[in-house]
Amino acid sequence: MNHYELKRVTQIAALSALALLSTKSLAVGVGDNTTQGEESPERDHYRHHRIERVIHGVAVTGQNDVRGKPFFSWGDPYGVFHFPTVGIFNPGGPQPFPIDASTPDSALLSTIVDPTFLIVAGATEADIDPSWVNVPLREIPVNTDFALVVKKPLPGTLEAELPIQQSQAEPAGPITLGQWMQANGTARIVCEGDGARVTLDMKQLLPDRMYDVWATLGLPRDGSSDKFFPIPLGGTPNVFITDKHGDALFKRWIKFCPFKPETTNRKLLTINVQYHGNHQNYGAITEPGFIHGLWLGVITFNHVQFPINVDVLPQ
Amino acid sequence: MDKYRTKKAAAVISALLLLSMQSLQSVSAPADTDSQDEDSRGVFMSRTIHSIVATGLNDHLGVPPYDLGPPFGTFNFAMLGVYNKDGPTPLPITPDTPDSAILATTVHPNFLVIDHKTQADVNPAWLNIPLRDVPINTDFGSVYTLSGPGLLGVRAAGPQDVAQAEPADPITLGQWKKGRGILKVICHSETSAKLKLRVQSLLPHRMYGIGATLGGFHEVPVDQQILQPFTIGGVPHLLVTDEHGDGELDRDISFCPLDPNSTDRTVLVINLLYYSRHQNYGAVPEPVLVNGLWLGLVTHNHLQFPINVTPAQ
Repeated sequence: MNHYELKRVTQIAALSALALLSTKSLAVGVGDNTTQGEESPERDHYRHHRIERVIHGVAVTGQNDVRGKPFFSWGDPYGVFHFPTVGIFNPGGPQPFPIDASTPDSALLSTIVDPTFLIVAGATEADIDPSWVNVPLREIPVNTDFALVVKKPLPGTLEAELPIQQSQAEPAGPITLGQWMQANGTARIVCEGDGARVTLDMKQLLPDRMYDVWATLGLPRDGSSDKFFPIPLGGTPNVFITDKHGDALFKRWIKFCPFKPETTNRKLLTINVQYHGNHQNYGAITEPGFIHGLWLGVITFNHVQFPINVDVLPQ
Repeated sequence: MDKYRTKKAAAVISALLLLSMQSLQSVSAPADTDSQDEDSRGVFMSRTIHSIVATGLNDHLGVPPYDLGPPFGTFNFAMLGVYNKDGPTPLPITPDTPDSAILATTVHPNFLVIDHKTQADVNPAWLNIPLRDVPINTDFGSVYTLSGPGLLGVRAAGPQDVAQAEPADPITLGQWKKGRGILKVICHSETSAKLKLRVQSLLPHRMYGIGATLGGFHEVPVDQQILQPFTIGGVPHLLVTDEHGDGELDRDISFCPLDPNSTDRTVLVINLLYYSRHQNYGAVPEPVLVNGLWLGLVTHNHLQFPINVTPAQ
């Protein structure tokens, strides 16, 4: 194995939960015992010093992915690792096209499962239901019954054949890359006292749709894990629903200061805003890839990412 | 029980088979005639409807406030109980229950009858759980079960533990009763309407879902009619409250709920349900047919808006 391959394997292993997945209970792996119940000098320091920062979000097409390219570095050993969570609908075949800098804004977004992500998730092609791949985002099947068996795409409320019929809220037109990339927002984070107030002011997401907010935490300083970890930012429900303009305000309190990473076991690397294409969430996990094959890129999609403790690359 | 009564009871039960949730009537205020309102232009019919606080289906503190019309009448059941620290089952909520009572999960016998179930079908471990302690899924392997302890609030948990958003204090009946809302139903025609929901003082930073309870099909005989829940306005039929417990939701629909003749069945009530598990289920309010996540365990009516019902006598 050459140096490049070794580095790649290291990255993949280390990022096996970066893709917002874990095989075990979240509650088991996330503790931050180094500061819990303690008054470390660092913690005491920021308790008395207010820190306020505004961070601009970036519309993304995947994990650290903007039109096929990374926009930040995670730092060693992961570097600029990235993968897509949306593709371009391919009407002539089973696999979506990748998005790159030359993809037109009119391109229709679809589901995708990136091979790199599969490795990260510890899965293979056999774990994917091909009928869930290359599905236009607006046509992702939605659960429609009390037994959670019947899943089907729903028409827009105003285009449904019958007035009383299960439907998806309007607007329900096709979702294009151009529309997707208009999304933006700011994260205002104010560290004060024992924690921080986080306010996400989101603009121009998909109107009247469901999103949730995840904090991607880096490796633990105590070496107890080799995995990144997502937690619901500010606790569950970490959900917001956009208004008719695609705007939303999300406010939560968190019990640590992201700008004082030395006071916590894990750095807050990024804040991810994820779109839920099947209009459903799953409590404190991102998506149930391992039991239902509903992988990242099939029902959940990174839409806006806020770089917190990562190195943004020059554009 | 004579044959008529048996038949009528059977009709009611079968009629309610698909209900598996909500309901309630029309204490409707006059039409919104604000000329400044963009929605007031070309209005065919409109109404501003004030909520009642619900503790179940057609249930306000254990009492049915509305007559849902034949064959359903004043059928009701609770989706909330009072936490019983001395026993396995929650206590019923009544008009005399003090505001300090802590709300808990419950499964009402009337609801079990609807679904042809008995108390034996209810996992006793999931009953009498204070609402704030309802287990939230943290496991990629058991998305639709109700297991594990409830999550601590962010303040009580470790700094980077998975937790539930603040405030995460016990939920009392008094707090529940503070919830209120206004629903504007603005019909521009029989095929075009807008719903504008504004709510206040619900549980802060929590997830709610809107749903209509439909009466039977107009052309079906009364004794064969079936109530049904309906995610009116389409998915996602959700709102998440802010730090004050306030929230709003606007939706466009293709019929006029105020005019039963604008479609083939009547909207009786519109409900706002609290999702105590911080999780929703697509286009249905809860997965009652899997893992016994019965109504009253993971979803709980909080506000009801009467549309085409009458006050109970």
